[in-house]
Amino acid sequence: MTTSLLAIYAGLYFWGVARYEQHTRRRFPQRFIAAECIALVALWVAIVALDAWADASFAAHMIQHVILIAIVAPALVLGAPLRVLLGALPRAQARTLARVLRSRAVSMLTAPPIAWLAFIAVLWGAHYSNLYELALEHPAIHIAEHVAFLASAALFWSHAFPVAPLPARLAPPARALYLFLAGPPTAFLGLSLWSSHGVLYPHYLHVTNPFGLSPLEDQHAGGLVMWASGSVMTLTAVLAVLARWARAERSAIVACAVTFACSCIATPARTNAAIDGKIVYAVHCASCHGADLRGGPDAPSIRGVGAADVDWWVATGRMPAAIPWVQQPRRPLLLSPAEVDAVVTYVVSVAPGGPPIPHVETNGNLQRGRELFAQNCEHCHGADAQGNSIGSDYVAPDLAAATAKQVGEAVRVGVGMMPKFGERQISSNGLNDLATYVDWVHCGRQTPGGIDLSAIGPFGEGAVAWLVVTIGVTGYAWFLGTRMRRANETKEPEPVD
Amino acid sequence: MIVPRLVAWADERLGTRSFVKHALRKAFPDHWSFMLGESALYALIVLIATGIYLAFAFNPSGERGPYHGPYVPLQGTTVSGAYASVLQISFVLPGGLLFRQVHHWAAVLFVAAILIHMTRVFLTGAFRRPRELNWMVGFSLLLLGLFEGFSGYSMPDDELSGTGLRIGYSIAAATPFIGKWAAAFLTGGAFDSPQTTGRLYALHCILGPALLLGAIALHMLILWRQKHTQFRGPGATEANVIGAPMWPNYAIVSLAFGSLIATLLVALGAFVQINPIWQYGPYHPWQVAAPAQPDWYLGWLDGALRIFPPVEINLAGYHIESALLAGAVVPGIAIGLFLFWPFVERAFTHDGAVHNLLDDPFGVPQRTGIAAATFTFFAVLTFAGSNDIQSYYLHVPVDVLTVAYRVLVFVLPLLAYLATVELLRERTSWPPAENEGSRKTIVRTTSGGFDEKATRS
Repeated sequence: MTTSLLAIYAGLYFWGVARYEQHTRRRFPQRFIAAECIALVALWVAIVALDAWADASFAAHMIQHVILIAIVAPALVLGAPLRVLLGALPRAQARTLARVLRSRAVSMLTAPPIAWLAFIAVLWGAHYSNLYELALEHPAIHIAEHVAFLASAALFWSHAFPVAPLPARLAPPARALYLFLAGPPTAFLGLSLWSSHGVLYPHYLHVTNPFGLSPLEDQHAGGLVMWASGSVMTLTAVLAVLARWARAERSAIVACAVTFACSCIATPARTNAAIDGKIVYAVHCASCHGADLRGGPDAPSIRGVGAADVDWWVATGRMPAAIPWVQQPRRPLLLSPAEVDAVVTYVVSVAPGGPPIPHVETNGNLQRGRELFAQNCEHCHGADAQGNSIGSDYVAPDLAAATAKQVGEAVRVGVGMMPKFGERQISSNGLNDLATYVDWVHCGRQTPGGIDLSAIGPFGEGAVAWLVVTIGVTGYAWFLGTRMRRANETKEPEPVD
Repeated sequence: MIVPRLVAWADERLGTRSFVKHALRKAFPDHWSFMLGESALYALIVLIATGIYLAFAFNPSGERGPYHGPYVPLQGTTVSGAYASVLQISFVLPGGLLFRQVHHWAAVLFVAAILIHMTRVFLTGAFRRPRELNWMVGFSLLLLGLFEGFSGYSMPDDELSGTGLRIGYSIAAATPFIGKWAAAFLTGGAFDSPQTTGRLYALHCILGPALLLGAIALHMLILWRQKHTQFRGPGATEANVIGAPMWPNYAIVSLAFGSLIATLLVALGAFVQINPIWQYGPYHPWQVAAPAQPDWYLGWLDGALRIFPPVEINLAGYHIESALLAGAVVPGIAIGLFLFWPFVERAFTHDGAVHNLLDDPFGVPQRTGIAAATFTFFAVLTFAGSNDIQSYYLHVPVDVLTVAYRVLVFVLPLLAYLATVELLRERTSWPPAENEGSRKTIVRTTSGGFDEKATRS
C-alpha cells in the first residue's frame, strides 16, 4: 500500500511540475526535481525495504529513522512541493493558498523556534516514552509516528533551505546557529541510548535479532547510529550553509564573528529583488539626513558624498546612528549587505558625485604596504593598527575588523577626523599594498617572543615588571628572610663581627 | 689535595687566609628587607651576562642599506645597520631573541629593584650619619641605571626609541647657553646623524658599565667598612651587628634568592614579549610610533612633558621653554633633593648623631609621609605618561585626563602625605594609656542582666 501511495504522490508531483511550467512559462529547476526523486526513493527504502528488519532490530529501526529525518525530509523540502502546488493550482486557489501560507497563524506555527521545538519534541517523545513500544505493537501508531517524524523534520529543514515559500526566513548566520542547535539534543538522545545499562524497549527481548546482536548490544548500536548520524547531519548542514553564505558574500565573513550572535533572531523575508534602496533610506536614514539628503539639525547633508562614503558608514555599522554628532564606533550591522548595497545605489542615484567605491585587493606588496602604513597611518592607528586616542575625545579605531574595501574607502574619502588621500598621495596599487599590510597585521603577522603586550607598549611592560618585583622578588625575599630568621632564632645570637 | 695547596700558595704570597676567614664570618642582619638590594645586584649580573652575548652580534652602525632577513614586511626596506643587526639577533641568531628579551626584562626589573631597595633604606633612615656617602653612591647607581636603560632602549634605532631619543635631544637642545653642544654630544651632530648609535653604543657598553661597576664596588666597599645597620631587637646596640654569618648561612640563602631572580628573568624573556622592534619599524624622523612611551622608569619624565602647561619665559635673552622646565628643571629639582636627602633631613631635624640602629618606619610619620608623597607624585606623572592609552581604553577624552593629572599631581601627594602622617600619629598614640580611668568593669547580675561596676583607677 505504501508503494502505491508513493507512486500516486510522485505522479501528482510531476503533474504539478508540468502545470507549473505551463502556468509560469519557466522551467522548474531540475535539481529540485532530482531532490524530490531522491526523497521518494529514500522514503521507499526506509519504510518498505527496511520495515521487516526494523521490527526485529533497534539499530535497523534507528537507521530507518535517520533516513527519514536526515535524507527524506531535507530532500523532500528541496523538491519544493509547495512551490509546485502554488504554481500548479489555478490562480484564484493559488492566491488563497498563498494568503494562508503568509497568514499570521501559519507564520507563528512555522516560526523557527517552533519548528525546532517540534522537531526535538517528536524526536525525544518518540524515544523517551512508551510511544515507541506502542508503535511496535500497533501498525497504525507506527504509521502516525513516521508521519510525525517526516512532518516535523520537513518543517525543521524548511528553515535550512530557503526554497519553501514560508514567511519567516533566517539570515545565513542565524540559519547556521539554528541548525547547530539541533545537534546537542540529537547527540544527547543517541548518547543516552548508547550508554544505557538496561534494555529500554522490552519488545526486542522477544524477537530474534537479524544481526545476531544481544538486545543491549543492538540498543547500543542504535544509539551510536543516532549520535553519529545526527552529528554528521547537523555539522554538514551548518558547513553547507556557511559555505553558501561565504560564496554569496565574501566580505561578510569578516563580520561573521560579530554579527553571528546578534542576528540569530529570525528576520522577516529579505529577498534581494524585494529590496528598494529608497525604502531602506526612508526607514533608516531619512529621519536625520532628510528625504532630500540635505541633512538637518541632527545630520550633515549627504548629497554628492559618493558611494565610498555612504558604503563605509553603513557597512561598518556606524550608520544608522543613535546619537548624532559624536564619533561613531563600529557596530554590528543593522542592515543586511543587500540593503547596504541598495541604499548606497539609491543615495548615489539621487545625488551623484564623490569618490566611487574603490576596488581593493589584499594581494599587494607587503613591504610597500608597511612603509605606507608607517608614513600615513601609524601615528594615529598605532604601530599594530590597534587604535589609539588622537586628542580630545576622538580615537583612531582599531583596524582589526576593517575589510580591504573599507580600508580603501576610508583612505579615499577621509572619513571623520581622518585625512583624505587621493590618487596622488596613494595610488590604487598603493591602496592594495596598504590593505595587504593591514590584513597581514591582523591575520598572518609573525611576532615571536611570547605574550604580546605591544598594543599597550612599554607601559604594559613596566606594569609586568612591577608585578614581578613586588610579588615575586619582594615576596620571595620575605619568605627566605623570615625562614632564615626562624632558623637563627633557635641558636644563640652570633658574636660581633 | 689541590685546593688546600692552592689556598696555602695564595696565602703565603697575599695573606688571603685571614681576610677570607674574616669575610666568611661577617654577620648579616637577618631581616628579609636587607635582601632587596641584592635583587638589583643579581639583575645586574643577568644584564652583564646577556649584554655580552648581545654585544657580539650588535652592529652599532648608522649606515643604511636594504634589509635581507626573514621578517617579511621589511624585506628590501632601507634600514640602519643597527636596526638590521637587532632584527638579525631577534630572528636568526640562536637564542638571540631570548637573550634580548631577558636583557630588556632584566633592565626594566633592575631599576624597579633599586627603587624598592632605596625605599627600604629611606623609610628606615639607614642613610643617616655615617652613611650619607653611601646613600649618594646608591642614588648615583639609580641615575646610572636610568641612563643605561635609556641608551640601551635607544640603540636598536627603531621608530619607538627614535621618538624617545628625539625628545631627549630636544630637552638637551632647549638648555640655554649649552643646548646645542649638549645635544650634539648625545648624537654626534645634528639630530638623526648616523653617528648616534655609535655614541650610544660606546656610552651604553663601555662608559656606563664601567661607571656602574665602579659605583657598585664603591657601594659594597663602603658597606663592608661601615657594616650593616640593624633593626632594634634583643641584644642589638649601636655598636654591634647581630645576624647570620655569611658562610654558610647567608650565602646559601642569597644564592637561592639570586637563582629565583635569574629564573624569573629567563621566564619573562621566554614567555612575555618585550620591545618588538620589528613591529615599530626602522626610525625615520618624519614618522611617529604610537603609542609612544619610554620604558616605565622614564614614564614620569614623559608624563611631566605631557601635562606641563605650554609656557615660555624670556630670561636675559634666552628662551626657556616648557620642554626644558618639564624635562630638565622638574627632574633636576627632584634628583637634587633626593641625592642630598641626608643633609636636607638633617637641616630639619638637627640630628647629627651616629645611627647604626634603624628607625621603625611607623615611628617616623614625617619621613614616611614624605616617602608616600614622593611615590604618589612620580606615580601620577608616570600614569600621565600614558594618558593616550588610558583615554583609548577608558573612553575618556585625553584633554580631560591631562587637566585631571595637572590637578592630581599636586593634590594626591599632599593627601598621601597628610593621610600617612595622621595615620601613623594615631598609631603611635594607641593603645591609650592605662591610667586614663577609662576602664570599666561589667558584672553579670543574678537575674541575668549586666551592670557597670565602679570605675577602676
